[in-house]
Amino acid sequence: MNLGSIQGQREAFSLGVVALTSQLFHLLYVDHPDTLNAGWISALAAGIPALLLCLCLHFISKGQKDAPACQMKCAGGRIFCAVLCLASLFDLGCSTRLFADTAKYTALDSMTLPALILPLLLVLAAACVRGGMAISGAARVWLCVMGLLFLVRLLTLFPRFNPRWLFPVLGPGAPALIRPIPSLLGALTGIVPLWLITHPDKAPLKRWNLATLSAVVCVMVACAVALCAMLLPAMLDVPTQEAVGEDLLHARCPAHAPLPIRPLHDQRPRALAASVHPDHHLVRQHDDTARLFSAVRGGHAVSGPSARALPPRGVPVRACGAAACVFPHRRARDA
Amino acid sequence: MNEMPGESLLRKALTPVLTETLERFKTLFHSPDNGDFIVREFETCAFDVALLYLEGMADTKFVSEAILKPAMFAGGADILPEKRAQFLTRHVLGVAEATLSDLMAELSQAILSGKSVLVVDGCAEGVILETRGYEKRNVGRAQSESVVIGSQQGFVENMRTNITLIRRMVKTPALVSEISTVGKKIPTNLAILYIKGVANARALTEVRRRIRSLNADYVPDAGHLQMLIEDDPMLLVPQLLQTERPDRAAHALRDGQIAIMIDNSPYALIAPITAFHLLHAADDDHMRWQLASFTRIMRLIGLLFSLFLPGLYVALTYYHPHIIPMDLLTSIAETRLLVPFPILIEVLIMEFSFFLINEAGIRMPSQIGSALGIVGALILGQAAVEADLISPILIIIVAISGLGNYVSPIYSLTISTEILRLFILLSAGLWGLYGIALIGFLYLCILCGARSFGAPMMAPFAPYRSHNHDLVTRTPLWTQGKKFFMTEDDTWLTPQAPGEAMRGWKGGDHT
Repeated sequence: MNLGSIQGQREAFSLGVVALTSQLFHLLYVDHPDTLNAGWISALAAGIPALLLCLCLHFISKGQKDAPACQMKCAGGRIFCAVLCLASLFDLGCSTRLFADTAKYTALDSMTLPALILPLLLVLAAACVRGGMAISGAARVWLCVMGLLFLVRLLTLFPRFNPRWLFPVLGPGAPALIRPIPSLLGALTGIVPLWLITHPDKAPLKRWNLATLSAVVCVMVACAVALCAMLLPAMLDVPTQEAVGEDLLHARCPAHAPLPIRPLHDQRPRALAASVHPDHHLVRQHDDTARLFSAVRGGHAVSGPSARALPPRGVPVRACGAAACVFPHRRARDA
Repeated sequence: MNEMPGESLLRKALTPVLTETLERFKTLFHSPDNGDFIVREFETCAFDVALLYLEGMADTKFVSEAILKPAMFAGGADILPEKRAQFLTRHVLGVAEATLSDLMAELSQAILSGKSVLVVDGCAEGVILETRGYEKRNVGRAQSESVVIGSQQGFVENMRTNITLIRRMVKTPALVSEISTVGKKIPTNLAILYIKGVANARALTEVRRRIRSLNADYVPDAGHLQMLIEDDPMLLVPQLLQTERPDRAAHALRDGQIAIMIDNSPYALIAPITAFHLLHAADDDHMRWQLASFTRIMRLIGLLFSLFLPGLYVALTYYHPHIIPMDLLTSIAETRLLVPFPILIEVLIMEFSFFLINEAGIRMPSQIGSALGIVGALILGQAAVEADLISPILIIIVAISGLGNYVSPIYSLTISTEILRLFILLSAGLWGLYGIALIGFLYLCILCGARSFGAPMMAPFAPYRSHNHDLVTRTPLWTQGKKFFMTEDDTWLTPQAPGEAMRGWKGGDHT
């Protein structure tokens, strides 16, 4: 991408928010299902080291008022940024590999991998050719659309939020909550290149706004995870956690393909339950999500001509929510 | 490169010998083969002159009254030969606009545009006289941008009339109309209109630069001009606003935009524009903010329906049936039970039929055009359903997307939406929702990266520029105190009293 053409911090801000929220949210939701309803604590905890990172960036760039930070003269700063760039490169490599593995699994399993990956790469390449303004503009539009959809979803789900399900906050145990933090920080390095090459605006946002973006996003993600958590009770036992975690390891593509693949996600509870239950076709026949969930929570059978009982306890509802948002199509077709 | 017959004459200056001058003009205009080229020789003030004009282009009655009659009745005078033309314009001819020129090219261009040229024996200058009087359409209703509320006037094919229409709306001496020609071999009159001190200087320079650097032999109308000066010819979305309405052009000038008018076109080209201008209809400005906001939102939803609905139908029924509620899925399956085609082919057939009906409805004579629409929509659709060629639900989907398409106030946007819909349809047929997401993302990026004469097409939203809340929804007029981002930085048209102060009566003495 011709990132050099990102002339304004506002543009970088939109792009950064989209890149970070998609990564962080899914890292918490998909890669660390064992954090259960306390995932928001992990997100908040990650905000503290993120803030330190941002402060470093801020001090390094203090003297760079008229030029992008990549043109800094301070040797220490350059080394520091080089390390961050390496970390973001590593993150990019992981993302690409995981995407290749999981796009087929999640989207259209009847297609060959090249048939799925190539169009995406072509589209991304074409978008990059249009320059930084195109990508950042698309990110800004997307932010607004997503914000609107989020608001609508929030309103429709409002009666179902139950703050009691956020407690006890340390339910999964401290190690489970600490484990996602390095991953979250890794995801933060994704905005470093943006921060490095963004030119100051004519009427600029303050430089630190971009640098503290990651910390702000951590809070946003924490709020979003907390909201989601308030929808569902935690009912996961440890062996199931590990099994689901293993399963989800192959399904992380949304974390790394933020814009195009988002609309694929159907996070409706109907698909959520369908994704983990062996008799998906039975579960899928229900549109009444409240009824379905009460059945799932109670560990009872779901109605149908040959209905069988769901596992009575330890249904990985929290984790399967993550799973459902990734591969509803696959699960449905399996049925 | 081959030259036009007689083109070398255009590069010459006028001679003081009348017979030679007339011979040159006759050669240039192929007289006497060319029957409407009139050369009227007569004597005035004791020297020979000749009046040249094109029959039908010049007003012959006016020519007789204002030129021939005074000239023939003028008495003899002792005037130096080289001063004769000047003398005639000052003391004899009763024509409002008279200019002198010694260039064959300029004089012949004047004749072609309907003016008359008086050439004088002994004088190397001709007199260009304003005698245009050709037939032209009267100012009527705008055909392609009709409105419920607001001005009903539309542009006509005559550029001068169009400029007058705008001048009547923008009554300021700062309104400038730079008139020039475009086309190397066959010039066409063109005008660049802007408000001095309001129009963005950089955009204006760019408009001038693009027009002056055109090397086309002939630019017959606004459509050709648009294609020659737009930023990205590959982009489906128009990058200049083609409007038929003087009020819309006037509003654009107020916002610092530039209007380009060309002879023979009942349109003005507005530049630079943003994607939001393409969503705005002319009567939005005449409606109260709540009504305008509502209609704009409906328009946007219609456009989105038009773009995505057929594609979504194909994607959901092909690849993601689990997303469709079971009752609806059963209903769709039942209606498709006897249809022999795959869904994608079925949709393509319907889309093609819709395009056919639409295009035929436009081209057909108006007396039978409306009947064709009814035949196409009702009889053909009903027959197709009964013959099990098409499922009924598809007719609903294509009809909704077609209706959504026509809420767009800009015709060229309507066509580009249809083309884009086909791409989305094919993409949905190949990759389902994944394909729709891919092409949607790509097009969003393309749109965000596009520029219209330097202005980003998605501005002031992306990239952000300070703006009034008048993009999709509108806020009350008195809250719109910011200047449009395209205007010059130090524009004199900045609202001086934004906010409540704009309505001075609110804070005044009510007694």
